[in-house]
Amino acid sequence: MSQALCQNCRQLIRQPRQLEQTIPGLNILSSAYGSVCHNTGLCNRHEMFTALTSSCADFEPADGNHGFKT
Amino acid sequence: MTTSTTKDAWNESGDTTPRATRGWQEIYLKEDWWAIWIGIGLMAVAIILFNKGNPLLKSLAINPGGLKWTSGEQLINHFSQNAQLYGLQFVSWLIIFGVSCRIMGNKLSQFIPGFIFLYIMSIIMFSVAGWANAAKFNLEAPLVALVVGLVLANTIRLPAWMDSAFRVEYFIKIGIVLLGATFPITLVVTAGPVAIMQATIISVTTCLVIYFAATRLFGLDNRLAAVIGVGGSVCGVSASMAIAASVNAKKDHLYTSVTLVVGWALVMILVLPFISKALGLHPGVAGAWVGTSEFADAAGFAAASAYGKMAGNEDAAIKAFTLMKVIGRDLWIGIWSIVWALIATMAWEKKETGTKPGAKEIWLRFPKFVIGFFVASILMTLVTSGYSTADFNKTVKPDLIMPLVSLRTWAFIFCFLSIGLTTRFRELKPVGWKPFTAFTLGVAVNVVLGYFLSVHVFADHWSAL
Repeated sequence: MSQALCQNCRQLIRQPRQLEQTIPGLNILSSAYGSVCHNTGLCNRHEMFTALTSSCADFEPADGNHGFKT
Repeated sequence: MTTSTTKDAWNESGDTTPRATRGWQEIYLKEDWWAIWIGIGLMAVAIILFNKGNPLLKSLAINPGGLKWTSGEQLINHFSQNAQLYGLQFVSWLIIFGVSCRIMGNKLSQFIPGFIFLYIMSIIMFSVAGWANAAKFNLEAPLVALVVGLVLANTIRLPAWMDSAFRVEYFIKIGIVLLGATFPITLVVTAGPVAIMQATIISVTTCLVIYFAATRLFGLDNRLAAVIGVGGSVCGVSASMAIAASVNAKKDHLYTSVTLVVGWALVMILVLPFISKALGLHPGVAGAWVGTSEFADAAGFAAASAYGKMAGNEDAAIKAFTLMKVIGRDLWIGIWSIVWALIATMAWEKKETGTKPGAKEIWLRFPKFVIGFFVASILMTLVTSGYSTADFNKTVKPDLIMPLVSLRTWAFIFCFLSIGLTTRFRELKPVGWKPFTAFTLGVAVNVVLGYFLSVHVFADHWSAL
């Protein structure tokens, strides 16, 4: 069973493409594909940015490897 | 879930062995690394072909920007005579960007039509800039590309999926790596420290002004203040993104930063070159000023390049801007990230926000494309060090350096057009007067302090570039 970390939570948005679609204008003078966004995700439930290694009481396990590019 | 519950629910895992950190995957999933592979790759090909006496890359680096045409017939003749080269160039760019963007997760079915449109528009922008009277009407390619892009994006409503090809940051990063090939490493060493000093003074001052104005004057959320503070002082939205996870910023905070940064950056692109012209600033001095006053690399290059062209010395403006922005400010994104993470976890309520900071954060969030800039600079300095000045000017400059400059110009035009084409004002979130005023105070301090340091304190340094 995967750990209860944000990276394994189905509420996390971390794909750059998804992040840019979720935050209109992000790609104008920036990019979710840049190194500065390392391991940054957006929690859909709390509408809050988080490190993938964080966790919270509202963890919802993702199916498979949701949101993580392999 | 309410905000307070959310805050209580968050904590730190303390887990330091995540599957998430697959650092090696960055080398093909992040555009910073692709910018290095492409920039250094093009440079290596250029050096090999130059040593073999093969003019292929020189031919492929063609653009109509230097034509100085006076009649449509001249322009048509140019394209008809070089149709094959343009065709080959287009295919080369398409393969380079298409493959890399596909691997990073974009759909080719969206990228290809978008890039065809971008390439055709870029040809038109170059052609406008190549008109003999373009300078008389201030039709500098960066400004024309930006304005045309803005008009198109806000009138004819291009489909949003075309953004797959309008990769502003990707293009500017490739351009910066290629810029390294024309940037002697000795210049970085000699001029870099002053740039870092000036940039640090201004970045720290601006960030503190925005942060304290936002929190003390207007009572805004600490996290919002931090996000817009680094956005206005370090590297625009990229810096805001870099610290967003460190301080657990809300989505709305980043929206606010996007609107403020994009709005002010566009104003600066359009205003700074003309103020510099009115003041008769040396291009090097103006480049340094733009470097301290613009928020994002792409926007700053547009402003510096535009003024450099107006003043007839683009090289000095670009070099000063690069020293100030890329070396003086961008390098410190990781450090700012860790500083704010420390503040969030130690000064603010620990349960409320913050992810445990670690020193490795500095490297993880480091804008890696800057490494490519340094590698390109060192490599080209070594390759050209054996040539006399006469030989350099006779063979190296026209057959090796100038083709790379032209490729860089292509990357910049793609970027400047993309800024306009992705800026859809209707999609930007309105911001309240409090964050707007706090940010604007920072902008005012930034511009005035940047002007004072560039024009009065370090003027000799920047005008000597």
